[in-house]
Amino acid sequence: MDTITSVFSSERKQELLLRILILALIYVIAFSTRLYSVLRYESVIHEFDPYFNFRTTQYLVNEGFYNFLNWFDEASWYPLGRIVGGTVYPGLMMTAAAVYWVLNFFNITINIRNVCVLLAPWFASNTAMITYFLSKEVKNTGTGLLAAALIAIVPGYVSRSVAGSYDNEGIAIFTLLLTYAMWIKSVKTGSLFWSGLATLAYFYMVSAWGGYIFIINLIPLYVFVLLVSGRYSSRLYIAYCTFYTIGTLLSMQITFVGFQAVQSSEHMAAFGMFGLLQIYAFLNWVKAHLSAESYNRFFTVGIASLLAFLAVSFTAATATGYISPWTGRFYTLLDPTYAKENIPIIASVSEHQPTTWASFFFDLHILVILFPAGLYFCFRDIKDVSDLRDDNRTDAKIFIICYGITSVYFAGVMVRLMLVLAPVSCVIGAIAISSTLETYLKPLKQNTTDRKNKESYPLQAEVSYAVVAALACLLVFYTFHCSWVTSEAYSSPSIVLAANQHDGSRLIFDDFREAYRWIDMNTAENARVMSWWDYGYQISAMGNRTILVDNNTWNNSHIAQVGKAMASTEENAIKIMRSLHVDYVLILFGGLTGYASDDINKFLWMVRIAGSTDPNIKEEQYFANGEFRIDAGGSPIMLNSLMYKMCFWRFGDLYTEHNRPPGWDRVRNVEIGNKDFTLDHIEEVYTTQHWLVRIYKVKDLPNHSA
Amino acid sequence: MNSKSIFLFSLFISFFIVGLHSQSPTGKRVLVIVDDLSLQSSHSQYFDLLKEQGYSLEFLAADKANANKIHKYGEWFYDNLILFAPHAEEFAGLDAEKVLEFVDQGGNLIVVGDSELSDAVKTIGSDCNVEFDHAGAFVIDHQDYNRTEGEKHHTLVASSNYVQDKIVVGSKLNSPVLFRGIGMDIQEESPLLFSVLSGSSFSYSHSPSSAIKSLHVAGKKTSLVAALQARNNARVLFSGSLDLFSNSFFSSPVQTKKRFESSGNKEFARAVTLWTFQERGALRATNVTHHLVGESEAPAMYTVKDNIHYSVEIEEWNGKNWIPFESDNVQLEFIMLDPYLRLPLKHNKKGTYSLDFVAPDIYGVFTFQVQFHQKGYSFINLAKQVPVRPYRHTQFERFIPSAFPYYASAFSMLFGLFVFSWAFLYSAEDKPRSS
Repeated sequence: MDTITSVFSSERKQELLLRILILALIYVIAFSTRLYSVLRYESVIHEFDPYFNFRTTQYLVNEGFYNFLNWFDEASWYPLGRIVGGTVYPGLMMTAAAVYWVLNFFNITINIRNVCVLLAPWFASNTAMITYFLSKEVKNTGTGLLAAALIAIVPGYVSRSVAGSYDNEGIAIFTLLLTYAMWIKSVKTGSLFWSGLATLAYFYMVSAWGGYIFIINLIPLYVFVLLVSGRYSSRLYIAYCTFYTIGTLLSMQITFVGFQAVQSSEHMAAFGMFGLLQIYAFLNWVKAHLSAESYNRFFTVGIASLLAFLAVSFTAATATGYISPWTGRFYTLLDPTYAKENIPIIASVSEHQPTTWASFFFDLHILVILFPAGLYFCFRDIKDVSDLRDDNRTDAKIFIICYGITSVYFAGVMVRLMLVLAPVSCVIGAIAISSTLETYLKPLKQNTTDRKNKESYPLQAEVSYAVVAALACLLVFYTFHCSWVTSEAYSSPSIVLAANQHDGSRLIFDDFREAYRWIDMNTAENARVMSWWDYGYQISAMGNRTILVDNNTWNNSHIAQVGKAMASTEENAIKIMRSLHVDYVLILFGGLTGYASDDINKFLWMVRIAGSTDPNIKEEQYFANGEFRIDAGGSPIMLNSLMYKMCFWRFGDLYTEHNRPPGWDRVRNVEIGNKDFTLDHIEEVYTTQHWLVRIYKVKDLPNHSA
Repeated sequence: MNSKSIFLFSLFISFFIVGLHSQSPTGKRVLVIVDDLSLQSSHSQYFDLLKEQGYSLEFLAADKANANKIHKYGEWFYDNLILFAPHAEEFAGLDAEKVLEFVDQGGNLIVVGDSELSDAVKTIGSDCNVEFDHAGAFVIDHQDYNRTEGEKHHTLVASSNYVQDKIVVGSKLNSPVLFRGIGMDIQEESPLLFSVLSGSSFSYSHSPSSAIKSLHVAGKKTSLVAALQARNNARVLFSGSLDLFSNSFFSSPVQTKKRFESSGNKEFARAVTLWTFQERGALRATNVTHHLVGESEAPAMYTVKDNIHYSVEIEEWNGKNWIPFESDNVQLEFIMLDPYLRLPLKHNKKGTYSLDFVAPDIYGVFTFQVQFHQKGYSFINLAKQVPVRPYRHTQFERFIPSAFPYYASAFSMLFGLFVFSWAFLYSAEDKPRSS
């Protein structure tokens, strides 16, 4: 007993114990709060993209790394095929496979699906730890603990990392913060070791997520800010030069990135900053050797000729196509209206829409308020370069400011980049809270007699108590909000749907898996299934069949072909389908259950995307007086399109609600307009229990009649 | 069992199989359904022709339902069906739909109409895009009619407009074919249909007794005998005349502007019947193989720029055996969305068509496609999908000459750095001279 008490006798050791305990709790909570979906449903992969990741991980585990790298998947994008190895960020799959291999090496026999399901929560726990480290480097240990606690449950991050959400972002946020933490450390210390670690973290990030572009632009921006504010130091020079050169070389090892790292416009800022830093360092050196007058002359001539040279070479490189122009998604970031006008395929994805104010509050809660406060504290704490008490934390704070401000902008442009904002808002929010607490706890820490004497204003103790209590309340509310959002909004797997019935019991719609299972068991192994691209990954992962288009929307014209087939009349569609060797067509239909994101509601996107390559398809033709309608007042072209017919085949005889005519669509709340039609070239082969998925077979050409 | 005995055994088996099927590509069992059993004697020459060719004929009256003798438990007891029953609404218990089902399952069919014809026969026709004229109509030709009979309406047409294809009508036909019956209009754009015997420019189809208001079909478009080859290669022959096959027409002399001692009916009927029953122009494609040049097994995937060997054996039925088919028009297409290659297949006179080609430098799922559609011959449709993958990471060239300058620069820099470091570290600075 004596020894144990003596170990923790000193205050410092007690503090260490407390810190470890808190971090351990955060680790557990970050993991367990993401398990709602597993508890409510089952250990199942969610949504769309994760199914592709899951399928590729299975391939990686079964076939090994080199076969994965060279994998040409002939079952997707029929007949184009997809070089999977060269068009994915393999970090996620590699991580899952590594976890699987390690666990199985130690005879912990967990199957690969469970590894995939639980990978994101586990990485969320790790993210919390790295956030602790990062915030500790920016401010102090207390801030670190608070930031770790905040990020463990922040909904903006939970949304992408619940169990089953097996997507790049699940591990990318960890690697993003890891890179930033290492970067801050390397700028603070100026050591090659830390900047080496930063490049390795960056390499991991590049292998995991396309969002690495954010890093490779933010860091040069930060370096630029430091240069402009006169905070250039040899630490910065060492950190950045190491990071840029080795980081770029490493990122080129990822097949998907390859030469983009030196050729595409998105990477040019980093390259330019690298050059600028050399010039800056060189000028510093020259300045030390020349008199002021000759230096000035040297400066003007040198800089002018250099700028001219750069401008000419950049223009030439862009004009000859050596430097590729910016991609559509990147333009969308700079100009939110760009996609809407030019690229319907990007605009059609709900993740790419601008963010609403409500979702800021929904995803960040009190951090929305704390964010500006934290920024204020960061600015307030900036110290002069010559200030020796600084411990280089000012550089770190400036970095956090840069990160915070840019990510607020990006989160405002695109919903899914909320994910990038969430971690930094936790750090900045933690800075706000801990700075406030520091101010108000100081008077409370002194013993009562001292306090009375030292009060700088009346009732200081009482005010301090009130502020601390208010902050505690805020944090409690934050906790409740986060749990509620996680449980209600972000834990639905979307592959299995649930609805509450009148008597309160839950009704489960498992139609998707039913349909995919049917395809797997009842169609020929080389059958080709046409569907809208949203379901491509799921069909290939669960139905195990060849598909025409999927969620990797790299070929707009091929998707447009499918959209055109769906939007055409049956006679025209059958020609397209035969030329693409389609055997089955799969559609989603929510008219019976009231499932709103079905193919009829997505139909206008199909028309738009088809119209972007074939000008004969015009969106207006599908409107009646400017309205998209499926009732008797709808446009005849709409009511005779293949999509309409496939959705509403046999629906006209069906009573869906009391006191409504047959053929009442419960999503659109109208009676369908065309009930009396025939299908000549396709036939219904399967409709799931709740009519959510309907599968049609393309008939052969008639044997004896033309 | 050593390889030699396996070879002998398989040779034996293949002879055995060939022996079983040496009769005909589809079979020799023929069912004739007639309106009136007396047709057996009035058309006896035609039936004798068939018996000479080795066909076994059975006759059933159309008005007696006897479907169980024809078709039971999804199996047909006959390979070929002749409907000499233009007036019957049902053919021994089979309706029009069932008759077409027989075709869809591979049976060959001869349908004969007449001036008066039933709805069932019309339905069979119209389902195949062959439209018979209205009942009561005759094909009338005031120029090319047979003058030996003093018939005033000129309904006994003598036509020489048969399809110029010796696979279908043979090469011995040199006198006109006598025809009395109804005209047909066939949908010309159909890839399955063609007219075997047509009227002259002066012919038309109409009822001879009533005034003409509109014509169903006229001129060279008037089809007297039409043929359809279904997508499953089953063949259907439509004739507007029952008399065309009769003994009296077979032996009748013909007097048009010229005189012919006997009509061409016998030769014509023989030829088109044999064609319909797949004794002529029947092709089969076997042994479709593709693999890399120099190998023998098809790989799971090809790589871009592979040398691919494709071969197929095409054989033709000569009435007794399958013999090598010779044609220079068989093409191979290598398709992914568009045909990237379309090349003629070379044949070795032994029926093997083959080609070596280099796969295009495009990856994707390609289709080997051979489509041979020549009038009179069976359709050959071969399609096989194969993935063509890009290079693996080890298949690229390792040391390309254009990279040599870069290697040189890298190594020179290594060397330069070494020299510089050495010079920097080991050259002592001149010590300032102490004064």
